[in-house]
Amino acid sequence: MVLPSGFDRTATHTVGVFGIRDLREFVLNIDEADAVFHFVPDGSKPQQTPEVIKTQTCRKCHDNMRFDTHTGSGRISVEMCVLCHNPKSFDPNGESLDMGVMTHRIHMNSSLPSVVAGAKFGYRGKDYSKILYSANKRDCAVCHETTAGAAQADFFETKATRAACGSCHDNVSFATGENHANLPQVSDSQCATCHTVQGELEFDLSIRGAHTVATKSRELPGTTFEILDVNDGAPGRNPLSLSA
Amino acid sequence: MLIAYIPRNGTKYESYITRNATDAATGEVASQATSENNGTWKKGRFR
Ligand code: HEC
Ligand code: HEC
Ligand code: HEC
Ligand code: HEC
Ligand code: HEC
Repeated sequence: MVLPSGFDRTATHTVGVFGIRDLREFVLNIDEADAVFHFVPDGSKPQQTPEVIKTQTCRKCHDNMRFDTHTGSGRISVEMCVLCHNPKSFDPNGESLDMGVMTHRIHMNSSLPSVVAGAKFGYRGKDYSKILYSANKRDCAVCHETTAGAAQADFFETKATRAACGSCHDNVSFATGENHANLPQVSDSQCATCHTVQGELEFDLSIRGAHTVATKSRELPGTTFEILDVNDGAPGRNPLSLSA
Repeated sequence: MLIAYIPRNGTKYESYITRNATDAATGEVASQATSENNGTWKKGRFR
């Protein structure tokens, strides 16, 4: 690999390697491993590399990080994914392969406004719109854990962008303001002035407020049950059998 | 093996190794980051 002439010697560079050891002929598994190495060509200290979400967070649900795509390729960490799944990578059908956009859309799937309106969603012609996701789609903290120690864990609520927010809200046109309260946005510079991290109210414009999971709302008073009567509670009777 | 860098003032990577992928149905072309030299290690001693 030869870098293009004039490459930025002051920029942080990352080399990634991934590999497998195929032991299936011995009735064993494919062992997978990957690793990244950060450096600056001029010898200075690398800047913070992308670390919004740690691999261990995905592993809560995807224990071996083996996905339908790249299965058995040795790509098993988020640090590896983001090297290729960057904002300049696209599927030929126009779907962004950027890690945030792609991950959001895959887990939103059937709830994407475009899919609700009848459009298809997938990559390389494969349908990803019917995946069954196991968590609440408003619950950002499922992936954006603040306790896993990711250096940029707060970016999901401090770096609102048209790409990241628009990936789930795909009926919003920031160019025209359609489905955005008629407020066109030509850059990402103003988002945080209205979409603050947390506002005064739940379900407000703030990023936490807007994504309040209804069942976790602090406004829920809690449900109280009162036992009004017990049927068939006499000795020798079975209170579970409902007398019709 | 793959190599990428973070452009000045950026927080996301850009890859030095890209390829063009073409949609078989529509002929649309897109740029994708990729890796090169997908070698295999044959028998030998590794230290
Ligand atoms: C709360 C659990 C949960 C978390 C956390 C989670 N996912 Fe998923 N994900 C799912 C479920 C459920 C599916 C659908 C399963 C299926 O169809 O195989 C899915 C599907 C996927 C798919 C598409 C299916 C495939 O095999 O290609 C990808 C890719 C994916 N997740 C990546 C990630 C990444 C990367 C992370 C971490 C940033 C993550 N997921 C975090 C539950 C989760
Ligand atoms: C070496 C570059 C590279 C790395 C590393 C990489 N990918 Fe990909 N990925 C691609 C490219 C290129 C595509 C576009 C599809 C294609 O043509 O293969 C893709 C496509 C995908 C897709 C879309 C589904 C599809 O069939 O096209 C998913 C999901 C995906 N990758 C998940 C991941 C995850 C999760 C990781 C990290 C564990 C990862 N990728 C690491 C290059 C990479
Ligand atoms: C299934 C996992 C998952 C869920 C759920 C999820 N995200 Fe993300 N999000 C990601 C991944 C992966 C990235 C990309 C991280 C990277 O590029 O390093 C990301 C990136 C982002 C970014 C861009 C940050 C940056 O570095 O530019 C924002 C903003 C964001 N998410 C907001 C949200 C919000 C708001 C929610 C809840 C409504 C949410 N996300 C739910 C996985 C998830
Ligand atoms: C992972 C998908 C996902 C991401 C990413 C995401 N949202 Fe949401 N958002 C939702 C869901 C789901 C709802 C609830 C929508 C509903 O119930 O119709 C919602 C609701 C909202 C609402 C309340 C208005 C409404 O339509 O109910 C606002 C405002 C909002 N989001 C702003 C944002 C902003 C700003 C970002 C970027 C920081 C963002 N969202 C990123 C999934 C997402
Ligand atoms: C001047 C204030 C303002 C600015 C600046 C702003 N928004 Fe909004 N945004 C709103 C209002 C108002 C709504 C409507 C909330 C509702 O419908 O409940 C909204 C709604 C949204 C929604 C949810 C749309 C839906 O599905 O209902 C998203 C996503 C969003 N904004 C993203 C962004 C992004 C990304 C930026 C920066 C590029 C941005 N906003 C800048 C005021 C603003």
